[in-house]
Amino acid sequence: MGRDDWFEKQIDELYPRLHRSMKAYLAGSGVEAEDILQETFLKAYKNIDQFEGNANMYTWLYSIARNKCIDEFRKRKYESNRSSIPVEEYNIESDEFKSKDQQEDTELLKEAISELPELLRSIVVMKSIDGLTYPEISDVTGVNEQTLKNRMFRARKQLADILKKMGVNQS
Amino acid sequence: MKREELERLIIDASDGVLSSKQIQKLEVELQNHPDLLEDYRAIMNLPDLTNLYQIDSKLSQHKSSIRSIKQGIRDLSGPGESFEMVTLDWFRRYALAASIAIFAITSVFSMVQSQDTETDSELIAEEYFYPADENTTDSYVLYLEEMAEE
Repeated sequence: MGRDDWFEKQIDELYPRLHRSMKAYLAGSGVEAEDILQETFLKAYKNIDQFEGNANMYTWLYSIARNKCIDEFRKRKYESNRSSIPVEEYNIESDEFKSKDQQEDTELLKEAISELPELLRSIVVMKSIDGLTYPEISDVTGVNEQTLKNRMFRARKQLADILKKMGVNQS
Repeated sequence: MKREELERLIIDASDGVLSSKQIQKLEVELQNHPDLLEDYRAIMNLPDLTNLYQIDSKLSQHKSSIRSIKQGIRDLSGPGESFEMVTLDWFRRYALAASIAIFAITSVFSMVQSQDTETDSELIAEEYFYPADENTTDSYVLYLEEMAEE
């Protein structure tokens, strides 16, 4: 299998998972996950020589995607406007089996995550939504595991505070 | 136990990696830190986020995005592709240049044609006003023959 064929296979395998993670990370920002992923894969292809064979392709792509997002946030001065995004803009996958209350809670939960500052939100998405391990998150962010856990503490504490203010049932 | 260490243990507990014995020990320790105990309770009561966003497992939903990425990669990797792709790529790149060239060539061609037509019509008009005298030509030929005889 040639290099291009191998890379195209990686796109097929990793795109859906990375798309979910970026969708969660970018919720309410107005930045499209598809655009970020297009740029991410092209950049990865251009710099494929920098990828070490025994490294984790997913975390390598993830770190490229995250840097792209941060650049985009800076461009759009996203952080200053983020809190003004209305709840209706958080698209919820329709789930026939969820009650209306549950759907509203899901919507608010997504909004609460997006209210977190980037530094904390990225860890919550990577750990709690994408299921990355702390060593993998460490690969992506370049931050040691102990610091990551302390940040995760702050993130979950803030998330609990935001949900409390929103009046979401926590059980 | 240091505060930061307790925070990490709270996270371990919420990630479900502590045994019940370790959790008991942590809760006893937290009695000395009422604010952390409150945070611990709030964190442990957070809803599960695992299924908040679903993976769109059907590749068809991402098909066009993936196709577009792959096309971008092929554009980057340059030649060495199928004839159709190369033709299509060249057509896209040079379509404007080609249409300008075709327009210029047809314009030049039509101008040349119109110039030829103009010359013909000028000649016709000239012949109309100044009809060619066949006698003049005949007498000139006779004059030349006479010259040759002399």
